[in-house]
Amino acid sequence: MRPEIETIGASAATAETGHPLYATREEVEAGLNALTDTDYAKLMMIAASFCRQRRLARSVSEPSELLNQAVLKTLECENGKQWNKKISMVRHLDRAMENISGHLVRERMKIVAFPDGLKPQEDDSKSYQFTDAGAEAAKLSALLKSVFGDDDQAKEIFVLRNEGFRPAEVQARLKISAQDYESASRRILRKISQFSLKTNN
Amino acid sequence: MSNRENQLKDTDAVFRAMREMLLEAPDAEVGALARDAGVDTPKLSEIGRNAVKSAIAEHNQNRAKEESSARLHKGLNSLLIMLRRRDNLDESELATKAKVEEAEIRRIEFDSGYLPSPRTIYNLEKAFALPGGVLAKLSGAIMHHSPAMEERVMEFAASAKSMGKLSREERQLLNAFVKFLTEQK
Repeated sequence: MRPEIETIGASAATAETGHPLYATREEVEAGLNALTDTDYAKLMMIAASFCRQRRLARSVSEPSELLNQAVLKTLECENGKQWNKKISMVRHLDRAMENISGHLVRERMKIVAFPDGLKPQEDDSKSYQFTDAGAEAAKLSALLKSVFGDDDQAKEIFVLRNEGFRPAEVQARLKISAQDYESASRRILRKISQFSLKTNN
Repeated sequence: MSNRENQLKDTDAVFRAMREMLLEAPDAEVGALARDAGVDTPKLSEIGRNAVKSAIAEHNQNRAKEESSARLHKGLNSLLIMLRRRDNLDESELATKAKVEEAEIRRIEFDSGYLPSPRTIYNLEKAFALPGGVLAKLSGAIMHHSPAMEERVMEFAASAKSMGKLSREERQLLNAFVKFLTEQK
């Protein structure tokens, strides 16, 4: 799990080149201003995916709220979520949204688990996690089914790619042509974006 | 459930893997992906752009407020020191008179980020026999103030010295500043 708030000082953290690793507020703003329409669309898809995963939203306005919070935290630099300039702004905002949405879920769980405001003796967030392996496997299977439907080939390629198999290795294992692989890869992306952007979760 | 699916471990891992693919999606395909999902791509981009823009605007507004509050606080530091000098009180004596902790007096005078409690401000105003609200206007408790007030506060802070007995000019400066604060709404 990544830290909730990255607190390493900008002046202290430097890349191997000797240049500061973390962006200043001005650099963050320049990075944000350099985002393209495609970046914005991607970021909204990713925000929608977090909202769907964490069950944060049922309308399109909440993903933008999550993105808004991620940008605000990034602009706070050392007091918020520092942008490591070695990664792209889009990827940084993805991580920031992951932190923020995860934090929101943990807060929500505390409210549900401790409605009287009493806090647990220690951080036992792990106790909230689903521990029934059988039920978790069923949830996983149901999730893949709702993303890929009956497209078993797309699902299989998605799973293999996430196991670390390279495209050529996937083709060999599934005995499919490069053309079929490319076509399935496009279908995978389409299904993922459709699933992420569905608002009635 | 196949063994392969189990390698993705849990639903969080699936969501993470899906987002990774979206991150890596070729730019040229992103528009079509959104369209295929039944979403107007330019509208989606616009919502994202507005979310970013409004965050930048909100951040800048917050920063401006913080800077403005820090400027006023500098005026509060200087005013408190001048009032102590006028009444010939050290920090300890003022703390006793105003019934506040001596450490808090020091914090107000030296920590520009410190926000004193309303009780402290009220007691200090009484201890210095000031009209009500004079110190509160500089303490950050009252957020609305004009740029002209900020300018005046900065002028006062720049002219205020921290040592010795008040000169006649300093006393005039102090009285004029207190009068100015009293007149501020």
